[in-house]
Amino acid sequence: MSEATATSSTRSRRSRAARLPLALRGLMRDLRASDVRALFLALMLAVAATTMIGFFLDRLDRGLTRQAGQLLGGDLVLESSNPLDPRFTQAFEEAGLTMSPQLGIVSMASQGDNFVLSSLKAVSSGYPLMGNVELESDAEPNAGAGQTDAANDEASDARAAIPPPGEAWVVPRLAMALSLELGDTLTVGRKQLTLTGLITREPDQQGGFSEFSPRLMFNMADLDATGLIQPGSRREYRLLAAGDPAQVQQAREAIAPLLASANNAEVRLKDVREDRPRLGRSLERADKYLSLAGLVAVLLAGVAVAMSTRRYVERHLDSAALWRCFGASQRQLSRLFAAQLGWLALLASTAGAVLGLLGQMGLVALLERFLPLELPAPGLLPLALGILTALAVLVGFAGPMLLRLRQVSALKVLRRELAPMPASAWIVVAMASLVFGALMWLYSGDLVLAAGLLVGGIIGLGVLLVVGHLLLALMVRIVARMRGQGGWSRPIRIAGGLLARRRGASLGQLVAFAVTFAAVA
Amino acid sequence: MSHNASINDVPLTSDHASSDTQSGADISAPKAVLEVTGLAQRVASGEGRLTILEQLELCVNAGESVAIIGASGSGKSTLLGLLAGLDSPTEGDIRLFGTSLAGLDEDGRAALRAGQVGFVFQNFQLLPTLTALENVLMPLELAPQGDIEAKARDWLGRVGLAERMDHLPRHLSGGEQQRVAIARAFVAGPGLVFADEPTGNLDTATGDRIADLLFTLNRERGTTLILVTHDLTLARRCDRCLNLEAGKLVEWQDGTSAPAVAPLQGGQDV
Ligand SMILES: Nc1ncnc2c1ncn2[C@@H]1O[C@H](COP(=O)(O)OP(=O)(O)OP(=O)(O)O)[C@@H](O)[C@H]1O
Ligand SMILES: [Mg+2]
Repeated sequence: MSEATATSSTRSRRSRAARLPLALRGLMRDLRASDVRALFLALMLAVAATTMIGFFLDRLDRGLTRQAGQLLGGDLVLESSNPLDPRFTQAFEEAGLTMSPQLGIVSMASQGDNFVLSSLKAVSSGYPLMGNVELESDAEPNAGAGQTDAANDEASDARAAIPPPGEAWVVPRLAMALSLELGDTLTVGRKQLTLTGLITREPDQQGGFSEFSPRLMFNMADLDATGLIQPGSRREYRLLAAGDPAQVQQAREAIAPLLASANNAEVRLKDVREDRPRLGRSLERADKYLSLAGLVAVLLAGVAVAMSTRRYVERHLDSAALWRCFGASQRQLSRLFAAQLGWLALLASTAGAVLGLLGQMGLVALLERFLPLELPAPGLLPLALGILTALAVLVGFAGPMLLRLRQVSALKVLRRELAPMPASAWIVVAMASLVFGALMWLYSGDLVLAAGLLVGGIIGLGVLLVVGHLLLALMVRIVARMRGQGGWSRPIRIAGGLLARRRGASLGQLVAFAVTFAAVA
Repeated sequence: MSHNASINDVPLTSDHASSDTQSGADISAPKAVLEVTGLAQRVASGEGRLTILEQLELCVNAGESVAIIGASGSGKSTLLGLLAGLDSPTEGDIRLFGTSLAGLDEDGRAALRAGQVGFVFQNFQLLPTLTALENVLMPLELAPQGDIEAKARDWLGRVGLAERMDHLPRHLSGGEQQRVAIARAFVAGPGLVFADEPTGNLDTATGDRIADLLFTLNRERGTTLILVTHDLTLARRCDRCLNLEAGKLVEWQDGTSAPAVAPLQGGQDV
C-alpha cells in the first residue's frame, strides 16, 4: 500500500544517487559529520573572501585602465614632432592592433578679424579608438535637420565618428571666442571649414603643449589644403593604437628596437598600463586593506581547515582500515579520498565564488560614491584565483595530515591502537607556511614583503611556543607542589594536570589562537 | 528470522575431523579454503621478543564452521589477523582459497580478500556517519556489479532490518548494529567469514540470536565461518572447536577439561 509506494520512491531516489561517482556519494554521506561541514565552510569562506575582493579589485583595475585608455586615446600611443617611421605602423599592423594616425598643431583659427590660438587636431578614420566624442545634440551633424524632441532631451549624444572633410568641430569656448554659430565658416591656415559640431566631451584630451588652447577637430583629408605643415611649425604626429594585452605586448616588443635607433630619438611611447594615473589616496588605501583582508581570511580559513582536517582524518582512519579490510588497495584508497576532497573543494569553491560575486556587488554598492569611474563587468580571472586558493589552502593546510590515511593498516580493525603516526607538526607547519607565503606573494606581487611577513610570523610563533612550553612546565611544577593540599587547589590541580597531560594539544590550541588573533588584529 | 539453528552437527564434525588429519600431508585437498603450515608470529615487546604463535597448523574446509577459543591474550585476534591476511607472519605460510599469502604484498592480500572474505567484529565497526544501508553497501562499492543497492536492501531484509535501512548506527541497538555488520559481511557473497567475538558486546539473549543468524547463513550459503570467542556455548555450536594454547591450536572436545577461557560469557573484559 502506501508503505510500498514510499519504499519504491525512496528506492528510485536512492538508485539515482547510486549512479554518482563513489567519491561524490561518499562526500554527500560525509556531510553528516561536523568536521566535513566545517571543512566545507572554511574553504567556502576562503574562496568567498578572496573572490569578493579579487572581483572588486579586478574591476577597479580594469576600470582605471579603461579610463586611462580613454584619456590617452589608445593602449599604445606614439608621439613625435616629425612624421613617424612607417615601420611603426607596420609593426602595429602585424601585431593586429587597430590604429588611427593623428596630427596636433597649435595654430590660429579665424573668422573675419577674430583670431584665436587653437589646438588643432587632424583625425583620421578609426578615431576614437576608445571612448566617444560627444557633441551637443542640437548641433549633431550626422542626424540631419529634423531633430526629434526626444533626442533634444538628452544634453549630448555620443558618436564614434569624425568630422567629414570640409567640416570642423570645436569646443563651445572657441565658438564663442570667434562668435561662431553652427553652419558658419571658419578659417584654418588656408582652408575654410564649416562648423558642424560643438564638442562636449572627447577622449585623448591630454595633448602636451596644446593643453591650454581651445580645441578644434577636423578631418585629416583637409590637412594638405590648410598648408599648415611648414618647417618650423609646432606640431605633433601621433599614432594611436589599441588591442588586447597580448597584441599590445607583441607590438611593444616589435617596436622596441625601432625606438632605440637614433633616427627615432624623439619618438615617445605612452603605454596605458604604465602611464596610468594613480589611484586616489583613499582608494589606494582601500585596495591595500582589501588585499590584506583577503589574506587574513585565507589564513583564518587555513587554520580552520587544519583543525577540521585533523578530526576528519581521525574519523576516517577507521573507514580507511575497513576499506582495506574489504579489499581496497592503497592506491584505490588514496584516489578515493583525493577525489572526495577534490569534490569538496570544487563544491565549496563554487559556492564560495557565488557568495564572492554577491559580496562584490555589495562592496561596489557600498563604495559607489567614492568611485570616480564606472566599473566594467566582473571577469573570470578572480574566479580562477579563488579556486586556486581553495586548492592551495586544502593542500597546504591539510595535505600532510591527509597522507596518514594512506598509511592505515587493515589490521587496525582488530587492534585499535594501530593508527599511523600523526603527521609531524614541523611538516604540517612548514607546508602551511610555504603555501601561505606563496599565496601572499601571489596576492601582493611583492616577494620581499611576503617572505618578510612569513619569516616574522614564524619567528613569532616560535617565541610563542617556547614561552608556552615554559609556562606549562612551570604550571606542572606548581601543581606538583600543591599535591597533598586539599580544598581550593583541587580544581586548579585537575586543570593543570589535564593541560600537562595533553601538552601537545594545548600548545597546538595556543598556536591556533595566536594565529587567529594575529590575523584579526 | 528462524531460530532453529541446532547446536550439534555431529556427522559433519567427524567428517571434518578426518579431513583435518590429512591436511598436513595432502595439501591439494580440493575443498580446503584455508591451510596454515608452520605458522609463527613473534613481535618485539619491551626488551625481548614475544612469541605469540608457534608451529601452528590448521586446515579449514569449505562450508565448515570453526571456533577458536583461548584465554585472553593467547593470541586469538593475532591469529585471525594473520588468517585474513591483514598482517604477515614471522614464519610459515597461509593459503587462502588456494593462494599463498607469503608471495603477496599488502595490496595483493587485500585484492584476494575483495568480495571473498567477510568480517564481523566484537565492536561492530560500523561507520557512524553512514546509514545501515550505506554501511552494508560498503563492500560492494569498490567493484560494483549489478544493482548493488537492491542486494544490500535484500540482505538488510534478511537480517530483519528492512524497516531500519536509513537509520544511523547510533540509533540502533547493539544487536541491531551487529545484524547490520552481519549483512555487510555476507552481502558480497564471500566464501569465508571471520568473526572476532561477534557476541562479545551483547547480552546472552541477543548474542544467541546473532549466533543463530551466523550459523543459519553458514549452512544456507555454505559460507565457511571462523569465529573467535570466549563464549563456550557459542563455540560448541561450531563444527569444530580449537583451543589456542601456548601458540598452538589443539582440538577441543566437549567433556575434556574446560580450557582456560575466562570469562565464560564474554563481554566484560577487553
Ligand atoms: N604487534 C604487537 N606488539 C606487541 N604485542 C603484541 C602485538 N600483537 C599482539 N601482541 C600481544 O600479543 C598478545 C595476544 O594478543 P591478542 O590480541 O591476539 O590476544 P587475544 O587472544 O585476542 O586476547 P583477547 O581475548 O583479550 O582479545 C597480547 O598480549 C598482545 O598484547
Ligand atoms: Mg582479541
